[in-house]
Amino acid sequence: MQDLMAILPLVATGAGAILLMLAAAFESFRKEGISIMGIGLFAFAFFVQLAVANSGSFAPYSGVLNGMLATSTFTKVAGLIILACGFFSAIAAQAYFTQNKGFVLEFYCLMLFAACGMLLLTMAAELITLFIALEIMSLAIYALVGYDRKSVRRSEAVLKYLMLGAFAGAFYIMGTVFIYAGAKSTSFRVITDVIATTGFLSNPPLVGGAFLILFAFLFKAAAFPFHAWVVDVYDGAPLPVTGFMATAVKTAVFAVLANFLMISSDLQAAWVDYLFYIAVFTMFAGNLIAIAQNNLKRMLAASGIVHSGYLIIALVAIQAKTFTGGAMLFYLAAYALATLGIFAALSYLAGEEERRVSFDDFKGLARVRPYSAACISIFLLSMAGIPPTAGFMGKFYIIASAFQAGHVSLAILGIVSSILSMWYYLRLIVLMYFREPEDRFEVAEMTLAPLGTIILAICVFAISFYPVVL
Amino acid sequence: MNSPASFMDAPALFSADGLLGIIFLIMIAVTLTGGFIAATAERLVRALAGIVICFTGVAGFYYFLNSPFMAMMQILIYVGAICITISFAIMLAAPERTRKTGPANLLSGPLGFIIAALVFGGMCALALRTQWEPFAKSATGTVREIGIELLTNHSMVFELISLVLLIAIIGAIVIARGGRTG
Repeated sequence: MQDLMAILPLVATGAGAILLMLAAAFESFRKEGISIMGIGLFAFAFFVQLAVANSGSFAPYSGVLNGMLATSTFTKVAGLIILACGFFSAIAAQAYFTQNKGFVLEFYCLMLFAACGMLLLTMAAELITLFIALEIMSLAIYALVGYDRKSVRRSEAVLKYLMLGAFAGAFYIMGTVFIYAGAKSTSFRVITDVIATTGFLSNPPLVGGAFLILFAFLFKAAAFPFHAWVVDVYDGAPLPVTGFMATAVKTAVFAVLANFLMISSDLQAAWVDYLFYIAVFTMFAGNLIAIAQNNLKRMLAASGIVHSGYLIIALVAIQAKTFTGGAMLFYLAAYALATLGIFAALSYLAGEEERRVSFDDFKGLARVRPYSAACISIFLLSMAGIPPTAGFMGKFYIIASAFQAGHVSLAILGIVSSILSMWYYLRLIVLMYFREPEDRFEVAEMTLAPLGTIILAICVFAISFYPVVL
Repeated sequence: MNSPASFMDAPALFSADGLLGIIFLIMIAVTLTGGFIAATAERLVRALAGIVICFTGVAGFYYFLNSPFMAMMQILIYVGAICITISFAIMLAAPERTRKTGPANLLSGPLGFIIAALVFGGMCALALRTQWEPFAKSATGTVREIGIELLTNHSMVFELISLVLLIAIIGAIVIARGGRTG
């Protein structure tokens, strides 16, 4: 029974997606019905994940599946964040499609499949399973980004993402081959044992393999020097998909990165110096790009790069012996809440065909729609890391863990980058509150998305009280 | 560190091993030639022909790696199915003859060359520094062996492949046909 419990979230998302496809065949289930069903299925999967949260750390069906999946508290919390991201992105999508054309019935189905792939990614304990999970996630996301073939911007975004994603996938496969040559197995458990006996640096194929695999994941995580694709792809994707990519994909990828580095403390130790520089360059490159943007979506994409930098600090600071992933998961949750909140608000404020997307379009929003402006300000302040929001606590935990691991300079650079990022977050708040409105901000009548925005805004404060043991 | 085998250790040319070695060298030449044509061809159809040659050479590698089934599948799937599909796509899309390139960045050429050289150097260093040992139990690469492996040790992967194919089909329908609108 315990085995079934552990994979139940996978079944809920995968079977949910198939159910949604079948339901779309009925005439009575049209746009509204499918949207509500998609949101409901994400909520259901979330509660399933919550219900199995205390089922312990083990490898489900170790006899049949040969230990290819493994669950732990870390993977389960990551799964919770992913499914919550899916839920709020689905709400944003519902609002988005009441104002925009181009709805396809397969939209929520692809989102559920992507979530299923992400859950598999966090649980995978073997390199080939991991690759298949990566492909399940990526294929679904490619289709979500580029489903509207008539739009040139979508096509450009999906082409860039697909090409570079395929490139990263090739790097990953090459790395798997090298690791197999070095360890004669693709299972994490065996690789751990091999590194324990032969050592990591004295086994060249393992070093080369880990190098290529980490490159592939750093690409997916939008870390320097693989960050250039992010801005165009996030800008070209539909708003709710951008929100989903920025939060859920990032959670899954960082969970995998942590799982992979945790294979052996030797492996992590060999990478700490490089990750240090990658973290610093990612933060500052992201900040430079974000400061130059005039489009809100592009700014959020660039700020996503900066947040990847903070998460890499958390990777540098983790210690294999006492790894809980607490700081990282808290940061991911805090970042996801704020980002999803902004995208949920934008999905109804942007209006028909994503009309309002630049900073200037939101001038004087506070006069016309005070609640929306207040919520957006809360999310921006949380991203900037102002107390008492969740973003502040997230940054606090990460920087404290960097201090604890002895990386004082990294912690200080993190604080500097955080101060730099105030520039573009506060700019929007100033525009919303201290300028006269030029627009009446008329949007279609809807209830779910504004409600979701308010719930997220409350959560930004609520989760900051949740204590994390470093 | 391994010392590279000296030229005198090589098998005689007119022995079984020597002939196999020559075939192996031919496969390398075929793969590299194909890859070179694919990368430098001006026209898309010629690049595709280069890929076909390259894939055929790779099939030869699989044969030498003791996996005749993989070699067969490489020819059947990559040379047969995938390249034919690409040629259909080229015919249906009717790309323009002349190659259009954006304004060339002065840095991109040298930078690309440096990165390629670094990757090549890294791979060479890796190959030379490793003590390559044969696996204790060498697989014979039969269909039976692959089937047993897929349904026992890698059953999870086998199951998940079906999900990948399903998503690929849905994605293709959504992008190509615009999906079912509500």
